[in-house]
Amino acid sequence: MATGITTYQCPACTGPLHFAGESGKLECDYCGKSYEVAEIEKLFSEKEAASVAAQAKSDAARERENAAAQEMGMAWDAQESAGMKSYNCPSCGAEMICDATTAAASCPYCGNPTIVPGQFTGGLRPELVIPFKLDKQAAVTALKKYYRGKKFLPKTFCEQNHIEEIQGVYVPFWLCDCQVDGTVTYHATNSRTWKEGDYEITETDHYQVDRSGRIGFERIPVDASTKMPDAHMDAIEPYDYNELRAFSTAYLPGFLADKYDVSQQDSMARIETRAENSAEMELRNTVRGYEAVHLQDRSFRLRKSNMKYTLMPVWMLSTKWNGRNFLFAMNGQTGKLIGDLPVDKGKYFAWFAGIALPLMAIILGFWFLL
Amino acid sequence: MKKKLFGFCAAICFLLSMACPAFASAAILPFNEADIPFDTMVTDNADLLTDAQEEELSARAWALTREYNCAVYIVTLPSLEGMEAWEANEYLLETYKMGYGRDQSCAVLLLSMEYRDYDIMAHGYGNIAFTDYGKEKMAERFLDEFGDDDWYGGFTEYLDCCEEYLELAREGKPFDVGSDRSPVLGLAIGILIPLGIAFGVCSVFKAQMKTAKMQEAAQAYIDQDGLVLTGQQDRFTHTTRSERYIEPPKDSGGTTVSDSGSSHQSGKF
Repeated sequence: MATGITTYQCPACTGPLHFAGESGKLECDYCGKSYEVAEIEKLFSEKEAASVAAQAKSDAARERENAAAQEMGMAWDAQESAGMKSYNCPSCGAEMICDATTAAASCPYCGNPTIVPGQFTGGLRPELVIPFKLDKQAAVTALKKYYRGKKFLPKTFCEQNHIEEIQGVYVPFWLCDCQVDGTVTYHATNSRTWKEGDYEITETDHYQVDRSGRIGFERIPVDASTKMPDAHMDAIEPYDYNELRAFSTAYLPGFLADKYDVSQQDSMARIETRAENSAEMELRNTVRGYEAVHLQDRSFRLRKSNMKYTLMPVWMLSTKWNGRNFLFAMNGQTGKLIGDLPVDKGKYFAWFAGIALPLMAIILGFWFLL
Repeated sequence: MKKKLFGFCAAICFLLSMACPAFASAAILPFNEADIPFDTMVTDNADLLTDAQEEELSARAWALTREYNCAVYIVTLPSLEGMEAWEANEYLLETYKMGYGRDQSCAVLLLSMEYRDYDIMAHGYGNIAFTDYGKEKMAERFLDEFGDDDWYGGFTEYLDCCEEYLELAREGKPFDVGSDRSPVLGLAIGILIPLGIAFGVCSVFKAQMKTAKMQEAAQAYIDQDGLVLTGQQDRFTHTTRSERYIEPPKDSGGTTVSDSGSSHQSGKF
């Protein structure tokens, strides 16, 4: 039965396959055999096409059902159904309710990794993907290592802390090639100082410094998912683009994946800010031979040349402590892990007092006793 | 010149000895540790003080001398007879064997009315109690009064200072550079600087707890051609000039003692 979603099954034992970052191959959970991505892609291309067609048919049928249900007053209201889609697991037949943007997930009943090929058709198909290189255990280890050396981390946070959820996610990104042309004006000064009697004389020469230039950028990343916090996605940069691959759904089994829900146009503001700031820094670096340089005016024009829809590997880890959620993100390729930690106020004030009080004793002692 | 001054002083002493037998005995008799001559404490040859004032100041100076074993003198002269104030002071010290004990411990404030010169001289133990900085600050305290011809007020300030400095010296902390540091400023510095340092260090540690931050630039994504400069111009516009008064360097403390064993602070009032 075509259900709109598909699973990659082991050609040898029909067990579910998942993509293993370490080997870069699809591995069977049951018989342990592994397969090249291209091999599985070829094998399941027909199955994916059937799944896409089934999804279209299923969407049409669901619309008819909704219309009928609405007539009978039994339909989900628009707010409830907005942004949701349902699929049937090809392994166990259970109905899965997912976000409208979900492109890869696991069945909550049988646990088999599933793909929604319909999310990757036509203009929705990513051009590139960086496959996962690090596994779940690496993410757990990185999080424990991240806790080390944090002076203000509450002791109980480590002791009572259990990772609530850890999920490998292919996050949709736009990679933007662009060029920035701009002009910057600085006010620069050089001073010389000498003594005349009891006075120190300072003469300052003032200059107007103009710089114009052009600078190109390749593949500035900006995450295209509203679900992912921008600060977390920015902070785990950079990725090694040498490992970019042509997109294939065969990289997805075993991980979550979303299709983008932030358009190219909506992403441009962040790209512009970053590119223009970098252009200003580069132009500033050409202003030499002055003691002080202050920015007076800047004007830039950004020309976008290319934007590629790409999936990037991210491990998302969430923990709960004292009723608060803490979210961490790890670059699934490089292992860079970031996230905000709670601050133990007691430790903070102990450190504060430990530094301030002895210093006060020394300075006040010196001032009043010596 | 010294002969002239000596003659002048001798004449004054002779006249004084006629008017006041006690002063005469003090001036001519060798210094006796057990008996500090009361009338040598204040020698008002310029006649700036009333008898009552002179008596009162002498009593105070004598009491200080007895209390701290360091003689405290006030001398006024109509003229220095061509000498510098500090030279005249040393001359008097040497000539009249002023001071307490073998090391002639003393502090002498000499005023000369001709050109309104003053000199504060310390000798022996006085060099410990009356540091260069102490003498400078002492002068600041009485110069206003002398500038207004308030002689009694100025000498009272001088004796107040002497008492303060001698007491500090007895406690082992002679008044010197840093002794008059403002307690309010000390509290402000002693509290605010440690708080600032502690806040800075704690802020660095706290920043390690928050690592999810938006990127502000894209330096890592600049292409291999980098920046291509299409225009650059550096244009001189104008020159500005500013002046700042240079504060004289702060004294590092202590007392500068001359070959004669005395230290001085001189000036005009």
